[in-house]
Amino acid sequence: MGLRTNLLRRAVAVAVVALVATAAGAGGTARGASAAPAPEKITIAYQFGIGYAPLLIIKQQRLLEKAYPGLKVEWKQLASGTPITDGIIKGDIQIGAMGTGPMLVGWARGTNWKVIAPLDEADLWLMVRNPSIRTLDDLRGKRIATPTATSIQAVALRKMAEVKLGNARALDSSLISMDHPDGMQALLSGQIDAHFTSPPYQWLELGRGARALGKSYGYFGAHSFLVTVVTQAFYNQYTAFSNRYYKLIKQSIDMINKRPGVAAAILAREDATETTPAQFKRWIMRKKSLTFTTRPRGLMRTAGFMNKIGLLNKVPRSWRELVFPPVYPTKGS
Amino acid sequence: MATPSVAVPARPRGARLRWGRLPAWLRYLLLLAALVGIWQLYVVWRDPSPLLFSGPRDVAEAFWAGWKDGNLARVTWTTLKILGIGIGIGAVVALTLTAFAALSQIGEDLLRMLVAILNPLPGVAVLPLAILWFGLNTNALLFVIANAAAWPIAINLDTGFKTVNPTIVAVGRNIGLSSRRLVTDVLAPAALPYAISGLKTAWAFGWRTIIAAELVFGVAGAEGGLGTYINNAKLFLDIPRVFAGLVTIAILGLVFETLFGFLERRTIVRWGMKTST
Repeated sequence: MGLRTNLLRRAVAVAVVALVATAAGAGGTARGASAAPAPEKITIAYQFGIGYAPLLIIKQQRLLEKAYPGLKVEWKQLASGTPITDGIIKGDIQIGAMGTGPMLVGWARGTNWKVIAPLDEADLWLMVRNPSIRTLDDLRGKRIATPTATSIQAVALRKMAEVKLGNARALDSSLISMDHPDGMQALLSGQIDAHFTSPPYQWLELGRGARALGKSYGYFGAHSFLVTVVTQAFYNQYTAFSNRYYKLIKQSIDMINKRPGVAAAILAREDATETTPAQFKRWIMRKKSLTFTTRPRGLMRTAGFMNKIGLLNKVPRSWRELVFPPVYPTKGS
Repeated sequence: MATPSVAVPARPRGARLRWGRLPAWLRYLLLLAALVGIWQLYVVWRDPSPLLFSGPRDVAEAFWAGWKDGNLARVTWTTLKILGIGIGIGAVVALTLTAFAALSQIGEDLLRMLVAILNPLPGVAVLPLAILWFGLNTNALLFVIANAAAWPIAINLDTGFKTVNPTIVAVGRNIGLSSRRLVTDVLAPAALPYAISGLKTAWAFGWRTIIAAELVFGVAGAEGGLGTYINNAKLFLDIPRVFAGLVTIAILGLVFETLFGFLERRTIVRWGMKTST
């Protein structure tokens, strides 16, 4: 008897919610409408690198489709945080994976997004190949490639310039935008003089005669690298879905950390190049330079620095302003 | 019986209304103010996202800030410098080819051929190739601008040389001018209206090409020009600054329009080769 009443109550509740959601949806926009379980279609954008591994595992294992049958997921691999920012502003992309740099710039400018799930922390290296480039000063007037001017790599470069050269903007005129694969090719072929990149490209370049002129951890301490963001409107509308997505990311990260062999095999299947599972396993186990975690670190420090040199016009009062509720328990910074 | 033909209208257009009686500068100013007013109304009424569109007030603020801290002036000067040098190189190439064409048949054929092949190429289409050849630096930009500028100048100059009064050329030959002096002292001045027209076209093409090329180039930082300024502003989602950059481009366009008009009035209009600008 009790069960049937409960079921009945639940059925009525769902029906009411469905009716209200339909009415609100029929009204034209989904502004603050009652939360629907999940969108029908979703576009997820990411970039190049092993740092996106938790997301790639979700992609390869179709975890979202399994959790929400009937959900259509479109995946887009883009060159930098810039087209992803544009896509989210326009509404073409719902979940965007980007570095903390573009995330902060967008947040400060009113894109109204927050981090739904951080992906990792990573030590980012400034790679050079020419033996005559010994110090940061030697890079004045040369060409340095980063994914985009707002990228965390570009921010780290300015921090290095501030510490080593006394002026954060000293190397600004040397910056060129290139995605990681193009940048690696350009560095190895001598077209550019330095490549501020990320895993695994920095390790690949290391193996091909390049060396690290500077590492971001040395200037910022350990810090978050990649995060995934959604807009406040999306979170309000699809709260359960967003929370579930966070759980799936956490699950993937646990798999990477606890069962790297399995994770590596999945990543190798997803990858278009001929990288072997053994190589992937080596990469994801380089914990000193790359740690997969949903705890954000160094966001306030990064924001403070960016604000100081004029790249950010607004600073969050606390790291919690930058993330959604599922991330609160991680006690980030 | 013959109806007198009226070559000039009896009274200026719109003179019935007060509008036509106003001086030109005032008419344009009022129209501009009306357009800005409509712009402001749109922003207030439709309230578009600041990430997509800016109102005149914000743009004016960004514009003023940009000039005050010297950024807009610096990037404008950088762009104009590259543009000037590029057009200079293009003009030299054009002059050489056209002089050659004026003096020999093979030169003429060569010019026709090159123009047919290279003129249709938009500057930005050549840019990736230029970057490959010259590297990621200003030389690639100069090459692209020179290409965009050379062919309009060459075409116009060639027409200019061809339409020179043959009597004058005959006189030149008669008094024993060498080929070189024929070109510099007879053909060139006679072709001046066409030269200026070619320069105007080359300027318009070059201007568009360099802004587009800078956007494609994506060089961020202090060395960039106006296109880079706009691109950078967009990267940092500073839409008022984007608009301020565009306004600067528009103003510069006006300035050069006026300068060219001035040049024409001082030379070819005064010499009677063109009735008015």
